[in-house]
Formats: sequence, structure tokens, C-alpha cells
Amino acid sequence: MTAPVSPVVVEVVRNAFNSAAEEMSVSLFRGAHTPVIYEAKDCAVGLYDADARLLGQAPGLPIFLGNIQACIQHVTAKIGLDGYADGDVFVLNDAYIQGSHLTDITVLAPIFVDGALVAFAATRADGGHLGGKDLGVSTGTRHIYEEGLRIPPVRLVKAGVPDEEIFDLLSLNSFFHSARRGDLEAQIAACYKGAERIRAIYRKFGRPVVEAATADIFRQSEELDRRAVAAIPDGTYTASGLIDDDGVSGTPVRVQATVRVAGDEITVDLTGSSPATPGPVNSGRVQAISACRVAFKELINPEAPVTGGNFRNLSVVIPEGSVFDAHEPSPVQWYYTPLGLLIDLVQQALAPVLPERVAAAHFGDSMIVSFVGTARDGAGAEDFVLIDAETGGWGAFHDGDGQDAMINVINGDFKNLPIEFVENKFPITVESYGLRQDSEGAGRFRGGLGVHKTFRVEQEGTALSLWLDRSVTPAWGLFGGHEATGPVAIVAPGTPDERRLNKITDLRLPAGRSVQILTGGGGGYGDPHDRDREHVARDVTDGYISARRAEEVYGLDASQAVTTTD
Amino acid sequence: MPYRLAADVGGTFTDIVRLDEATGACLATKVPTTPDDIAAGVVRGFDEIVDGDYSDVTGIVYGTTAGLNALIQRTGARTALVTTRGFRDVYEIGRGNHPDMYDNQYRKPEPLLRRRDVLEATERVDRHGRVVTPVDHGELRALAQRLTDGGYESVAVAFLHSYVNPANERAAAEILRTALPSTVPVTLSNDIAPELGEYERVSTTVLNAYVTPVIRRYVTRLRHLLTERGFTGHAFVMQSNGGVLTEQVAAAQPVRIIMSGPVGGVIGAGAIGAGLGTGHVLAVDMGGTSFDVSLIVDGAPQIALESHLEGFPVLAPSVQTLSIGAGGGSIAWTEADSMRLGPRSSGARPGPVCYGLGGREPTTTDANVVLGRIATEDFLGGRMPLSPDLAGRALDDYGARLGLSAAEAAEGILTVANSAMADAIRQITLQRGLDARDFTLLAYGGAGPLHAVALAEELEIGRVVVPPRPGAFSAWGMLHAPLRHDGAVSVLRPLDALTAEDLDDTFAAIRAGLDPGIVATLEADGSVREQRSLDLRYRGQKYSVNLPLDGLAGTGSIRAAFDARYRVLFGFASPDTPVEVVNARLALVVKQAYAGPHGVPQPAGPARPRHSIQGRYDGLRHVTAVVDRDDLAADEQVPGPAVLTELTATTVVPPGWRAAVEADGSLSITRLPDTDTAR
Repeated sequence: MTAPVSPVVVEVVRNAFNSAAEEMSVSLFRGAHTPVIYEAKDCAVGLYDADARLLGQAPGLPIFLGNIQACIQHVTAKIGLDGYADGDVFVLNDAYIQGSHLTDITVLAPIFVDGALVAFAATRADGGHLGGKDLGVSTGTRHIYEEGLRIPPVRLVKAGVPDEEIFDLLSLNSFFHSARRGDLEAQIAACYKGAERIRAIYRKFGRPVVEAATADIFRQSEELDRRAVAAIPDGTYTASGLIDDDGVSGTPVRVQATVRVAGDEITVDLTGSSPATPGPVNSGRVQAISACRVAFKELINPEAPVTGGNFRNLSVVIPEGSVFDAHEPSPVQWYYTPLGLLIDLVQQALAPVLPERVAAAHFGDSMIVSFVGTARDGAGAEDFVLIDAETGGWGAFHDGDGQDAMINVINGDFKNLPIEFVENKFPITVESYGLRQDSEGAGRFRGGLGVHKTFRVEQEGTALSLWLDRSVTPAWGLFGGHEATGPVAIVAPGTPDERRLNKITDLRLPAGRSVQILTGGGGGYGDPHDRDREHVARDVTDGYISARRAEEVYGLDASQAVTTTD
Repeated sequence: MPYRLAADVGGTFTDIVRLDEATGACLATKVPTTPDDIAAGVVRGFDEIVDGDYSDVTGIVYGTTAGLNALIQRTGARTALVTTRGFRDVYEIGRGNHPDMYDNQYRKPEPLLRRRDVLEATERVDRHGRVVTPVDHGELRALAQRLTDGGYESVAVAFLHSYVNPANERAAAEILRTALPSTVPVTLSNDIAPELGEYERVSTTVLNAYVTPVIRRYVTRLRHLLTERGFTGHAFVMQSNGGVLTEQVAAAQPVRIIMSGPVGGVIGAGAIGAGLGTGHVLAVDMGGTSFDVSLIVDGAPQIALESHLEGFPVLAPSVQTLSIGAGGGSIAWTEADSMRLGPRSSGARPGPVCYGLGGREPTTTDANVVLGRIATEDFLGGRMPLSPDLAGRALDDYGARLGLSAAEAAEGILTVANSAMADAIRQITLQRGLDARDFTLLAYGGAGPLHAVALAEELEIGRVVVPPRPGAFSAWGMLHAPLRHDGAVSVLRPLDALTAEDLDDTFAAIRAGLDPGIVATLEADGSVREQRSLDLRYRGQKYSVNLPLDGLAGTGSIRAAFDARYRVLFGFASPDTPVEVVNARLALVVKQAYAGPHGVPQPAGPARPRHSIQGRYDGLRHVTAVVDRDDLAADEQVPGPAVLTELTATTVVPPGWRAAVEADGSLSITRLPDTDTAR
């Protein structure tokens, strides 16, 4: 037990922790060289106590929720709390420690106050290529060593002195030498900023008060979590689905989630999920736990800031040797594909008891389209790598339609690439881009629409790679809502060479070849015949759905039909 | 005596200020805002302050929230968008992001037009600006017919890559303007936001089209009412970027004025800072529902090239303001037996508990009342006495839920509020690579001066300034905004491929493209200064940084200045990476003279406290002097604890600080020497 502390101080400290994390985040965005970090926010930033419990975090990729904690615990287990020195900074990326793929770099630093280790600051950011076999995305990897350089926890800065040799080692292994170094420096600067703020908070209130306040902050989060779970009827709820394949073997991969609610405790049991796969859809155990936390958080107090007191009533059971328990040398490049499905499945499982909290499934994956080649412009030639994450439809919910054309749920504030940016930076033309009519899961509330986007490559030999999963289990509906249409790519549409594909690695294209991407929609909620007739008619007028679909699926009778304007 | 007038239209009240150009003396009044006919309310205020006689009025500046209100309430014009065939849904798709990390039931902002209102035109320009497919005249005429038949009141035109070559957009606009009724304005994306990034450009263009008819009506109506009263001089409209522009430009490009709400105060803060010899000012505006902070660095307000309104990106330069939901009306509540404050606000109705209008949940204002920081009998000059009893009871109840006394709970609320505001200030200064301790804090708005010194303590800032009439400060500030007319072109070329002559030619072309009538207006008003700037970025980046050229001419010196600026903003520079010129911007500026001292007439002899109230600071009771600010003599000093009252605001001087009256009538509050105020 810690000493009682004023509720005022607790609230001030709680806000200060989150504000300190925000400052870290500002510092990271200011310093980062890689657009996917400062613009797409493919990163995570947090402050942790000496036991690696979260004090405060800033918005970043939701899917990283909670697994930086595991990285700190790993380093501490290895060197002991005594092993840290003031001014140390560690870097690591090993998939079997942090759970995610090797382009994600975790940087963490101990924070000392008056000679005692009181906290940690940590960041994770995706800086792109680091020693992998492909400059773009790898789709057909069979072991981790094809995916990049593995970094165990390494002291990048020793007691305030940067180790230039390690910086050089890491920069040299990246296609983007100087950006790699710049990103690392930005991650370190962010940790130092966090440390500075934590020290200021400790100086202001004193260690006993801060620790007592921290304990109370954790108590608050735990209490709110427990109260919310206690309100869910006890029982066992199950859902399962398939991802298309692992990118190598061509067979579907099963994900099963069994959710057990007992009093104020909740368990997500992944027993029944496929064993580890030869292809790159495995995730480290800690990353699977993170995904369960995201699923939990979407349903339990989603608006409250996350702290070390959250998830204490959440247990996760991961079967040994499963796709969620990657071990050396399992490849992990697409670790998030089964996790996105898992998050949707937890919602499906709990739908009967949380009908107003859940949403039907969304299009479900990051829908990655990649073009790699050499741009020849007059005299010069330069290699280029375009990695584009396409949008799709989100699931409908109890009082609203799923949104059209959104980025993958697990990617938060990540943004799509502007067409004008793509055309300026790459020898590629976008011929058309828009909402994909009739791709939604029909329902009383309908799912969101997917998109169509047609690229045309200008340079001979441009290599296309695709990862468009969730065609075997497209976004399902809830409570009578229909499932949506899944994704597909059409190479050379409307020509004798036309090919339909979902996954491919390095397909060489001739100059002038078109590739049309069609992404999936989101699932519907409730029976489409119960949809407000005006809304059905409106969707026809606006061209979201065809008149025929309105009639056949939504049961709009001809007298209510409206002519479309386009 | 010649004087100028300003009107700052707020949600509830419109502030009117009259400034004597020769002496700087000014009068202020407050009239109710009339949402159905805002111009009528504004003119009512003017009538009152000039006593019906406009003959000595030499100029008028006004701001308006009409555009913003139309956006928030979705009451703008019925608008159509004409866009490149194959790209109909760019506006609706946006960037696909969702700002709330765990929100599985996210809803995009309600679009300003529906998909049926988006019409496609066959045309295409490539990334080099080459016209691949010219516009089809027949198709566009047919399209114009559809727009006319559809009853559209405003039309936006946005084509791909128009920022590099607007030929197709202009050709389309010519056909549409000829065929459409003359009352239907046509907004072109390359006129409004000639920048790469189709979604942000189309969003800005649609927003401009959506509010144009509303603003046009407002400007026309106000001009009509003023003409009726015999005023035929210039009237200027406050822009988001800190300048004022003529009524004609405001009516054609209202997107430039839509975020002007907080700008007047920031300009005023800069003017006061300059008068007091300080270039770094934190302008802090706190009202009933929000706390807004802006930075003035070396005398210049910080400008953002892109901002967001109601979830939509807007590419219009605007004074950068960070707003958090912490105002006088912020409600204190509990969760898991813990303290929480805001962002929910009691609003104007029922308002804080102490208003006695039915509010039951304690607010920041109630905490101030319980702690003796507001002289309740003098509130609004005694027109609206507040009830300390009601506030005390509400805080008794609230404190009991947390095991605190009413006074402890009240101090707690203020501590939480002040900490949150200080955190916001730390973030906005850090973003610019600056340290809050190097700034003077200038506080205005009804609640700003209540919290200013506590904030300064939290941030280790040594000096707080409270201008005269802090409640009407934004209107006063507008009168110090420069006249300004802006133009821009997209360049998109490597900096080292350009010569100084190329740049001169570019700027000359922008100047030649400006409306000659407006330029003549500016030239008639004073000496016109030309401000040149470039939006620059390292190759491969998307975001650019605006670099004022201020005499820089050669590309070598521009390059060096850009690297230096980048280092300040982002902590590093990449001197080996090529730099691209994205846009060239030119502004014609006519500076307003600072009107100098504008304090109220000073009575002789030091003021005596009229009475005292029981205050509480850091858990200790203090007898607190209540002083009418109008009674203060020049150079008089008031040691804390004291509460300085005036019609629209209260300034708190805590123990350990003292207030002094500056020559310009501002209060300057500094730490007393030899006092350790650290907690």
C-alpha cells in the first residue's frame, strides 16, 4: 500500500503523464525523416514505470497497444534493473521479442531520478527497409532471415555516449541510409524528451507522491475495466474465420477466438487457431496479446486513455506453436493479417451480449499494393519503391452505416497517399479512383463501400506485389446483416491478358500495363429489408448501390425506386 | 475627431470598439449578436458607439463567424462540384484516417455536398502540367444546363494537377460562368489553393464555394446598412492570416476569413507586445468554453499553411491557435471516485452554478468564486451579481464525493485546469522549438486574466500583461491588423534550377495577376510593402515550410536560410538533400500604425481598495483587496493578493506578485522580489 494522495494531485499527474507522451510524440514527428512516421504515424510512443507498466501514451498505431511493455520486460529480464545506466538507450527489433515485423524499430531508455531508476521512455517506428531481400514489401518469405536484419536488445547509447559503430551498422543495412540514422536519432530525442518531463514531474511532487498517484491512476483504470466487464452477461462466446493463405502454401489459415466472461474477468482463448505457417503470417505472442487488447479496448471504455491499470482483468490464451506464437525461424512480415481478423472475430463473438458496442466486420487488412522499379528520366535512373495501403469499407453498427473507404482499423490515423503525390513521385499514372458500387454488406445499417483504383505503369519491367487478403472470409454482417464483397486485383483488365489475383510477388509488368485494385466493403447490421426506404433510395440516387441491388437485396419495390443521376 | 470602428462578432455577443486615431483613446461596447441577420446587430452596435453620426468614421474593420456558423450548422449554399472524370469520389473518400484510435463506430464528418452533386468532366492534365485531354466544350455546356436545372447556388471546380497548369480548370470555368445564372459563383481550386494534394485542395475549394453566397449576402447587407447611414469609406474584413482585406476579396474568397475568429486578439497581442518592447508573446484567450493559445515570435504571429475545420482540411494560411476545452464553464465531474474536469461545458445557459440559472454541476468559474478570485457583487459591473452560496454548496457536494472540503475541491479544480493549460502551452512552444520561459504571457477574454498569473507560475514565466478591456480585446486588435492582399503560384521546381531573375519574374507575375482595383485601394491607403515568401521542402517530402524572403535574393542564401529554419522547426537539417520550391507567395501589405497609449483617463492619487474579500491561495486564507481597475493611476502598483475588477473581466494578482499600470494602460504583473513562490 502506498500513502494516500490528494485526488487533485492524482488528476494533475495523470494529465501530465499523457501530456509528456504527447511531447515525445511531437519530438518524434519533428525529427523523423521517413514520411510513414511523421505523416502516416506508423509509430507508438509511451512512458512506463520501472515495472514496465504504462503511465501515458500518445496516439499512434493502435496495434502496438501494450507490446512495448514486453520489450522493456525482456531487456530487464536479461540485464536486471541494476544493469541500466543513466543515459543508456537500447534498440531492438527482433520479431520474437516485440512480436511484429523487422522494419518496426523499438527504442527504449531508462529514466533516472536522483540516481534511482523510476521509469522508462520508449518509442517504436517503422522506418522501412532494413536488410530484407526486397526493397518493397516481401510477400513470399519462408524464414525470418529473408525479411531483414534481426536486432537483439543493443545499447545504442551507452551512458549518454552514442555508439557510432552500431549507428553505422544499422544505417548501412538500410536502402535509405541517412533516413535510417535520422529516424533513430528522432526516436532517441523523443525518449530524452519523455525523460525530461518525467524528471520534472518527480521533482515537482516527489517520488512517494508520484508513485502513490500512479497506483491510484492504475486503480481507476482497473475499476472502470472491471465495472464494464461485470456488466457483460457471463458466458462463453465463440467466432472463427479464415485468412486466404499464408502467401506461400496456398491453404487458408484459421483464426478462432473463444471469449469467456466470468464476473469481472474476461478471457480471449485462441485455441483452435492454425499452427504456425510456412509463410509470413505468424505473429509473436506479445503482438497477439496486443491485438486482443485492441479488441477489448474497442468494446470497453474506448475513449479513456490507456494506463498500466488496464487489461488486468483480461487473460489471453495462446496455443503453443500456433500462428500467434511465432518462433525462430518463422517469417512474420504480414503478422497483422490474422490479427485484424482476430479483432473483428472478438466483436462477432460478443455481438449477442454487446449489440450496441460492436460493429460488423470491416474489409479487414491493409490491402498493400507495391510497385518497385527503376525510373529513367532523361539522363538519370533511380530506383523507386511505392507501397500503397488501399482503403476499404468498415462495418455497420447499431445506429449507423459503416464508413466508406477507410484505412484498416488497426492503423488508426494512418492516411492514404494522394494521387497527385503518387504521380509526381513515381512513373505511374492513376487512371481512376472511386467508391466500388455494391461492394457493401447490405443491412438495416449498411457496411461501407470498398474502392476501385486503377494504376498504369509507365516503365517497362516495373514489379508488382500484392497482398489483398480477406477474400475467403470477407467482412461478415451481424444480426441479419449481409457479408460484403471481398478484394481482388485485375491485371490488364478488359484485355486478353486479364488476370485476377489477390497475392503476388514481383510480377514484372510491361510499360503501359494497367492494374485495377478492388477492395472489399464492410459488413451490414440488421436485415436489409428493415433499412429505411428513404436511405435505400438515397443510396441509389447517389450511386452507392445499383437500382437492381436495391430491389433484389433491400427489397425496394419499383414504385419507390428513383432514377440515378449518373 | 477622426476615428475607426471594429466589430468582433461572437456567438452570443458582438464587441464594438471605437478608436481615436490621433490619441489612441478608445470606447467599447457589447451588443447581442443577431444570428438571423448578423449585419443588423453589428450596425446597431456601431450606431450606439458613434451616437448615430458616421461623419468622423474613417474606416471600419469587422470579423464574422457567419461562414463558420454556416459550416457548423450545414446551412451553406447548395453546392455542386465539377471534377476530373474518374475521380468523382476524392472529396468523399478523403484520406481514410480515423483520429480516435479505438473507435470502431467512427463517422466521417458530414460532407458539405452529396455524391449526386459531384459531376465529372472529361479532361486530364498530367504531373508535368501537360494537357493530355482538353475540356470538351459541348459536354461542359450540357453540364452547366444540369447545374442550372438542379438549382445549385454555388459551383466548385477542381481538376487533377491544376496547381501546375490551371488551363483546363479555367477553360471549364469560362464555359460554366457564361452558361450559369450570374448569381451562381464559380470557385476554382487553383485560385483558392494552388497546391499539390487533391483531397485537401478539393476540400478547400468546396468549403469556399459552400460559404461564398452566405458571406456575399452578409457583406452586401452590411455595406447597404452603412451606406444608408451615410458611411461610404472603406470597410475591411479580418482574414485568418492576420491581415485585413477588402469586402470584394472577402466575398469572393471567404475561405480566407473563415478562421478569423481568434485572430484579432493575436494581432492585438503583437501590437501591445511591440509597444512594451517584447517580441515573444504568448497570447492567451480564455472564455466560457475554450482556452486558445497562440504564439507571437519576434513580433510575428505564427502562421499555419493548413488547418482543420469540423474535420475538413483547409489550405488557407491562418494564425496558428491551439484550442483546448478548458473555459470558465468547464464542468467538474467524477469517475472511478476520481476528479475530472471538462471538456463538457455549462455553456451560457444554464451557466455555472453561481449564475443562479439552474446550473447544478460545479465549474471552473464556481471554483474561482469560492476561492475569492471573483468579486461576486461587481460581476459585469454589478449588473449580474453571482451567488457564492450556490457555488459553495455545489462544491461542498462535489468535494464530499472525493473526501475534500469545498475549498480544497475548488483549489483542486483550478490546479487541474491550470495544469492542462500549461501542458498545452508547453506543446505549442515545443512544436516551434521554443521555450515558454522566454515569453511574456498576455491574457484576455473574460476568464484569461483570472488564470494568467497561476499559469505563468506553472510555466516559470516572469511577466504577465493584461491589456485594457480584455473582454473586447479582439475587436481592438483588429484595428491594428495590416491591410493585406495575397497571391500565390505553384512552382514545383528544384531551387538550384532557378536564378534570382527567375524568382523576380515569378513574383512579378503574381503581382501582375492581382486585382488592380484592390491594389489601387491599398496604394491609396498608405505605403505598400511587398512581402515575398517561398514554400520550400526537401525533395521527397510532402509538407513544405514557408520561408519569408525578407531581402534574400540569391538561391544560395535562400537555401542556407531554409536549412536554418528547418533546423529550428524540426531539430535537424539535410544540407545535402536537394530543395524544391513548391509555391511562391506574394503579399502586398500596408501596416497600421500602432495607436499608442490607449488607456483610460488616469485619476490623480492612488486608488484605495473599495473593499476586501476572503481569498484562498495554496491552502491559506488571505484578505484580498478588491480594486476597480478604472481607479488605478499611472505607475501605481498593487501588491497581491488582489482582485482587479472591470466591466468584462477580473484580473487575479496572487500573493507574491504585484501589478503595475503601464503607460499604455496595460497591467503588467511581475513576481515580487525576495519572495519564493515555488510550491
